[in-house]
Amino acid sequence: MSFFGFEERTLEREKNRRVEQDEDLAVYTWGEESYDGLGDALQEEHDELNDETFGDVGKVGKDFDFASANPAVQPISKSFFLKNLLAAQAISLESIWDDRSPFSMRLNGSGRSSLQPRGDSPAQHRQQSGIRTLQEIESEMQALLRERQQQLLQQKQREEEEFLRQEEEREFQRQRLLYQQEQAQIQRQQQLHAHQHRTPPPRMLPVSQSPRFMEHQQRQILLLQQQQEQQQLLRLQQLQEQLRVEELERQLRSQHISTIPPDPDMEALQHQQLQHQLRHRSLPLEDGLPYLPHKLAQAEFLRDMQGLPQADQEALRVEAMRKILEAEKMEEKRRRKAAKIAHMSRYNDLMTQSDKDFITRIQVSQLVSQDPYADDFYAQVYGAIVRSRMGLGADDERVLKFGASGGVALGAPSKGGNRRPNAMQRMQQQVERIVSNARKREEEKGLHSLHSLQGALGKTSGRSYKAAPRQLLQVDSGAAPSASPTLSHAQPHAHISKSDSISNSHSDAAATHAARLGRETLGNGSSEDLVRMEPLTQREILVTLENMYDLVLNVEQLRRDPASSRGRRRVFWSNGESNEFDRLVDQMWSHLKVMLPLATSTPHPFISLLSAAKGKKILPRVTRHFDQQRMNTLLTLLIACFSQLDTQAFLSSVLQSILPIIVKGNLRLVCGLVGLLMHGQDIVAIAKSRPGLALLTLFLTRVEVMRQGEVDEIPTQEDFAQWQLMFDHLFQLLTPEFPLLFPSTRMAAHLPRDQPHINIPGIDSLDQPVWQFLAALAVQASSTQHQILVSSLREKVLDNVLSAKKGWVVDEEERTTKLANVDLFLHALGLDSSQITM
Amino acid sequence: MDPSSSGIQEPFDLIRLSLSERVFVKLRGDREMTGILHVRALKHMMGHMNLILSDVEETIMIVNEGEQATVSVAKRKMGMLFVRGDGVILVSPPSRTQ
Amino acid sequence: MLIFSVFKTLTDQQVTVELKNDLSITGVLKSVDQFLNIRLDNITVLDEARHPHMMAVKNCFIRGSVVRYVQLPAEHVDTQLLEDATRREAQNQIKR
Repeated sequence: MSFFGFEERTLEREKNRRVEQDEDLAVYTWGEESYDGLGDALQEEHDELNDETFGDVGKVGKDFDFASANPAVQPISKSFFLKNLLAAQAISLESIWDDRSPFSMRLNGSGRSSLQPRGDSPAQHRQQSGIRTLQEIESEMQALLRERQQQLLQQKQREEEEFLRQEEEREFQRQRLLYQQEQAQIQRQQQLHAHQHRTPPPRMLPVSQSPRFMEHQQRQILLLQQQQEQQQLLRLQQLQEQLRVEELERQLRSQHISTIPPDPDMEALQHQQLQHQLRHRSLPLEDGLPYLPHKLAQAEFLRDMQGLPQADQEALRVEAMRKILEAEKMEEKRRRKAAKIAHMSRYNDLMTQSDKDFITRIQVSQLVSQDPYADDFYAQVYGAIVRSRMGLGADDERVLKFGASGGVALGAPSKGGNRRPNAMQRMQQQVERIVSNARKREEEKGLHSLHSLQGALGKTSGRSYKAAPRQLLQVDSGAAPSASPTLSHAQPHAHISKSDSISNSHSDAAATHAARLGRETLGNGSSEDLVRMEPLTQREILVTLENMYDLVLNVEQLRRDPASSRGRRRVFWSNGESNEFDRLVDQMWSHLKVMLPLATSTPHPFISLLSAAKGKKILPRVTRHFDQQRMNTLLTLLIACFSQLDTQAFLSSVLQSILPIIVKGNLRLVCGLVGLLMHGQDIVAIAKSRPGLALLTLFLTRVEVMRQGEVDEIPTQEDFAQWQLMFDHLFQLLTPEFPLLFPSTRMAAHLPRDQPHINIPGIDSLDQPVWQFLAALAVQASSTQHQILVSSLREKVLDNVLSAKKGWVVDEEERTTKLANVDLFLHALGLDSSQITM
Repeated sequence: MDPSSSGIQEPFDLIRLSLSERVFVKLRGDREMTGILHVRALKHMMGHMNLILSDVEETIMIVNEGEQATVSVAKRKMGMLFVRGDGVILVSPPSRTQ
Repeated sequence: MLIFSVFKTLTDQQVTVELKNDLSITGVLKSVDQFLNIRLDNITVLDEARHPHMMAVKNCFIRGSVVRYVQLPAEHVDTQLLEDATRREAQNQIKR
């Protein structure tokens, strides 16, 4: 059915088409550039009030029937709704901008007049009741007349209208439904859009979906509306003011022009003044009126355009443009500043004063370090070392000198280590003590050995002992076959008891046995799980050692901790500290690689670690924390790999570390270790090296101490017997080499024959360890072995004594050293250099 | 079996590896030296390294300006030396060969 | 801080400060600060002929930044402790 000549279906289609177009428009224009985020505030729920908003379907009357009055106008379209919605929530900035006229703006601001439905439809007229004007009544009367004339026609029409209205209502309902659906869809799209394009507010993301956030948004929208309304109001006031000023100025200018010829400078001045005035006045309003300066400039420009010559107008235009730009810039700046302040103030009052105090306390507590040595470690510890040294006295000087001249660690002995003299000095003292003890015992026994060796050194006379020393020698030929000392081992030893008259092969077997015992101490007798590998590289060594240093520093820090070290030498550990300590020490032990099988590599990884300077330095600091069992294992490994060690390593660190173990070790351990030295290693070469000689001396003195009964654990007879085998074997092996043990002898071998007693500076201090070793050997030797010693070393002894007594040695200190060296050895035999007559 | 591949995480650890070892140091002003490294202290702000070395042997290259520029070398030894970090160009780790 | 800590322990010891202008000054270290500025007493200059203006000077304050080397008395330096201190600094470096 057609109405107003339109085919209904066409109309319908047309309407649908427009709706579709609108949809597109709405979708694509919503929230692009000028999108203000209000879409997020749309509520998807609360549909229960829809009836109130859109009216109940059944009650929809003619009030909404705009279409009947003007069917060409599209029925309530979506865009209309959107516009309404927008207008209700916010007046877009663009629309304000566009409305330049103060009047339009007033209209715009006073209400939403432009959005009001047109009021000239008959339906509205009909509805209007109450007070009516005369004109209205007149027209109504006329209309009534006309109505009567057309009553019949209208009757017909009304029927048609009624039908149409029903149709319209149905259509309207359909449209509304469609709109609702579309609206929902738009909202969904918007949300999607918002998620994609809007960066979420920082740190607020998880909150943005919460009801509280929504509430907040709504409140903000309200606030915005209020602000905008206020803005409008202010703008109006401002414009009124502006108009007033404008009027004033116009009056002023007209006066001005009439009296004085136009002066551009003057004018500019006035301009500035006026502008200043305006701006000044506008200042308090600025906050609410972001575009005011711009507006003012524009108004000014417009005003200036009036009644001015073309050129001036042009100049003014440029000037005005400049000012506009300037004002815009200022405004932009101000806005950014305000935004920044607003942004910063987001977190205002987030923390209370007590919160802040709490944080301050935490920060301050971090400044006060837990480690008192943190920044001044060197000076603090160095000071402690120096102080502890001050309290020690004479012995201390030597430690200081030792550390300084040898470049050997001062730091290490400082932490307990410097409480004893260095290892070599200690050993020397030990030998002296043993020798003097032995001598006393001999004297008590009735000078037995003194008699047996009486005159053994012979008498020297004449200008040189070289003249005829051999002839004067009076050695008991039966006891000592001096011509062939190498054969001496084949002789039965008088000293050894009857059951012990054992051959060379027997004692060798004993050494092997002892060595096996020693290896068993290492705990890697079985070679099943042996993994052979390349010796550690330099880098691997350094990395391992640095890891060890970390552990050592931690352990030392633990011990240095004020809680545990206050004035006490033995520390009482808390459980936690003790566990931590044990854990660190266990780690050190595994880093040291002592437990790797002996045959893992050559050199053994542990020995490789000692090859680095820092490895040597760290050993005493590590071993201090090990228990007896671990130290025994370490010591055994060291001895088993002794020939792989370098001299420097031994003297600077190893000796220092193992000394406390050896001086506490039992006879069985010493036996095993000496066996290890002699089995599979070149004992002669070892004895010719300074470390080897020192080690052997150490063993000998230890055994002698045990023989003298100065130990808690008295060794069994069996152990002593075992030792005797070891000793004899050692003596045998070394006998042909006795004179060559002396560095001076070895050096002299390279000198021309006719310069027999050339003075090598300091040679006596080099020889000193050899004399000590020989003295230690002599103390335990049988009388037969004494004879061998004397016959092998007679020449060396006489050489020294003569050098000292004949004044060939100028330096007094050297002379004393020479005699002291010889006497140490002679005393062990029960002799004295004074017995040597010249 | 051996933790040699691990163990070094930070570049600063390389400094530690050189401690107690002989290092080669190249300095501004045509100077070089070798010495045993004891301290390598990082100056955070300036980003340079102060050093303390012992048993130092310094080599100074002196370029003699003239018709034919010649280079003469001066050497000297010092027992214990603090080297201010701003003169240090490079510190090379101990040689692998030793 | 480590170097400063070391220098503190060397006060009243004789040191030789070599400056970047090749001037070498030997004297007793009196004080040092965090910038490694150095005050020396009883100074003598290595090559007095080349630096005659220094002959009358008995003490001096040396700005840290002009120092090239300082020769230290080895007997008053604990090298093991120096290395430990360096390691501790390195440890702290990693911790931070």
